[in-house]
Amino acid sequence: MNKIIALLRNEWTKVLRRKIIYLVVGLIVLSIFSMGVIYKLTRTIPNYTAEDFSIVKQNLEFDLEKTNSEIKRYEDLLGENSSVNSTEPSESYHNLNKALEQSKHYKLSLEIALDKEINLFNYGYQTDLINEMAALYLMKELAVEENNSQRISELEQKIVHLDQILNQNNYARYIDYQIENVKKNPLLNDQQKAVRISDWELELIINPKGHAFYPTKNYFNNLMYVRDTSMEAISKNYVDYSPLLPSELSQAKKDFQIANFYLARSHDNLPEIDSGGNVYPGFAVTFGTYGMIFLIIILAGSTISQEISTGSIKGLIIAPVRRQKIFYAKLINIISVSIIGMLIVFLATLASSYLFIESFFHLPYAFITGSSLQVMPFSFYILALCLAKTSSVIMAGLFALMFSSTTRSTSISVGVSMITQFGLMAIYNFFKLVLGQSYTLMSFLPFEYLDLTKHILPPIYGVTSESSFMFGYTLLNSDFALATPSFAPYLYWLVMAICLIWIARDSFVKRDL
Amino acid sequence: MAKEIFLSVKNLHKFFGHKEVIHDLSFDLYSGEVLGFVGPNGAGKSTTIKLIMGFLSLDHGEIIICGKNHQTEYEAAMQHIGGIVENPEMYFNLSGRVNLEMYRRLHPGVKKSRVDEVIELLKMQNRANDKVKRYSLGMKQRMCIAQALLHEPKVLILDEPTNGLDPSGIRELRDLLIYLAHKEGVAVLVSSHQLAEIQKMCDRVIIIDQGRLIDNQPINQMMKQSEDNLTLFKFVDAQNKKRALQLLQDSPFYKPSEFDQYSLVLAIEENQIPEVIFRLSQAHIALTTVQPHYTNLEDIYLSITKGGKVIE
Repeated sequence: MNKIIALLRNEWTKVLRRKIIYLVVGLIVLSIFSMGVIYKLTRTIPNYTAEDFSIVKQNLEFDLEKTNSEIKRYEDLLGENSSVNSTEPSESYHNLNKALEQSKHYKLSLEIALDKEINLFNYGYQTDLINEMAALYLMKELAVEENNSQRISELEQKIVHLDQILNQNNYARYIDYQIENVKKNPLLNDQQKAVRISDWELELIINPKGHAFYPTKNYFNNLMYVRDTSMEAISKNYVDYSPLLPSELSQAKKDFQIANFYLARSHDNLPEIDSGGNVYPGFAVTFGTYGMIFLIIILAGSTISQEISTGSIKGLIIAPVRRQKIFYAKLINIISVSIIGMLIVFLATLASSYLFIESFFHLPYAFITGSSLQVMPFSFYILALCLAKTSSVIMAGLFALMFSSTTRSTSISVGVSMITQFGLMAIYNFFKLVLGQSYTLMSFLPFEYLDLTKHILPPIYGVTSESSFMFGYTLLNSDFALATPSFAPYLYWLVMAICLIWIARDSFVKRDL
Repeated sequence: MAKEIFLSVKNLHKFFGHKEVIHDLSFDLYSGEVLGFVGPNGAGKSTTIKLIMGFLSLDHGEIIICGKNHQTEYEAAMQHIGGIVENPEMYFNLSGRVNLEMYRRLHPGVKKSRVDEVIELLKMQNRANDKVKRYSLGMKQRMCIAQALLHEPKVLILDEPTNGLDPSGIRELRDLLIYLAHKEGVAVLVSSHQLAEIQKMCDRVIIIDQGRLIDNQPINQMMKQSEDNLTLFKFVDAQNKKRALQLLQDSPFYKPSEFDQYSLVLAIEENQIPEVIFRLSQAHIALTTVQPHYTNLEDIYLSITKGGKVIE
């Protein structure tokens, strides 16, 4: 053991005297910070307020004129159509009727917008209100035709109510109005109603002015998407017309809990800028991981071959140490460099995140153990992410070590390892993205389990930066169909690692020098 | 000092593919002796040394180092060995001192101060902190010798140790090896093509060729066998030398030792010289020089290997 420690110290002495180590690690750290600086410098505060009415007035008037002529054309066509065949309405008659209704609705919306001097194209809550008012006017016309006075009265009340909200430009009242609608909706059960109501209440907190766009819109929409799809899957026990497997159902329940956790946590300190800040830490760690893979390939790819080719291995062979100890020291060295390198990536990512990213996006990592939800603070999550990513760095190192030991050529071992890691992996990831649904079949390909990150820290779509940047997994789709047992990825990784170590060790220990 | 066997090589065989490069090689190396290991290029010297140093695996045979079996007690056996194999190589981007320090760590019990001692012994104090890549061949050789001596091994194996050394360096190394062997009791195996150096420093010489042992005897004995009175006769031209050869080849004092284009070496007593001169003059063979001729290891080596070819 003492000799292995002595050998390991020697390996570290050699590592620390190599300029390439400082160069690559320095570049990785610099790049992580640079990305943070660029991100901070280039982000601009978007104009969340709608364009002024005066700018769009002409467009609205033009649209109104055009819509009026369309309505006239549809009415003429409908007249011709009904005179040709009055017994049974044709499909084109239905389509024309539908188009006419839509045009009438749009015409009413335009008229209200022009009357109230509101930009209809801002897609904020005012647009929703105008559209809803237009629909109510159309319903009222129908009620008038039917001579349904009670319905007319109800609709008029609603129109007046919406008109007041619109005149006051009161977003809070709009939210109240929507909550009331949810409560009265007979198609929703109590749980669904509670979810919808909490969503509207949250909307008021995160977007108090009712802008069409706001900094955390994507973040919250993604969370709601995960929650809704998982809730639907749990309640129907189906997803995409396929019954859920027990493991999928369990995953859906976990996702539901996790999404709810993020939605329910305090939303103070909301960012002013739609920055995509949740993407940055994961991107920085992913970039750092690729940098470390590059470094470890150079290091592991030369560790045996270069020493043999330069003859410097002689000093080790002459020493009273068995060759397998020399090999294991080199192996431990590669693993320790991988871990320490990723710890440096962690520190750089953490520091740059605190320096350049809004504190709102220092998101904790929620996960389920057993049936209870656990939460990992942001810094721990970044650390865990880096350590999980170390699995791919170590695997790249083992590949390079194996090639270095078997070929005894630094150029071949480094070259082949680089092509494998950066060429074939890129092609593999490209096909994974392109094939979409067929991706499940690719789960059986060896590349899938060389990086254990997503198995150690399962991503939730749009929440953790890890998931949203690279591949954007949608949990309730492709990942679900051919779920492997949870130990399979670890077993695969372990078997692969042992095989590579065994080949490298055998080649180094048993072959003549 | 009683001589102990520090290194015992028994019935060594080594194949590269189907070719047997070492054939049934056996020899012993005793404490306090310097053993010369010579042979033509490709004779198997470096292969034998690599087998002893653990670079190559044995196909058959046994190596015992200070009583420890090389195969079953590898680390214990290698603890007693220091050496250089082929060219002097170290980690070129590290300083000589760091290289020695790294080597020291692999030998438990060797103090840090020993690094300075060997640096001083090999006169490398001024360059020890420079990177090895800035060293000349001679400096690398010195540093590798320092490394080989670092843990005070009982067996020192040096493959071409004088490579790159200047004349004074060669002399210092020779003196050092003789001192280590004769005063410290170290067993030293030196492989070299510098036969004059081998002759000066070694107590015993082994000659191998094509992986086989050709000769193994103390240098004194080897030289004694060749201590007949030899006389060199130099002629005016090759034609005269050729005629002299025809005249004398059947005589008892003709010795097929070294002769060049104009010379012959004859094993004759001093009082026989006039007779030979008389016979040559009668045959009108013109001489330029007659002088005593002293044999060296090179002569013996060449006569044994017939200029590199093994005597069957």
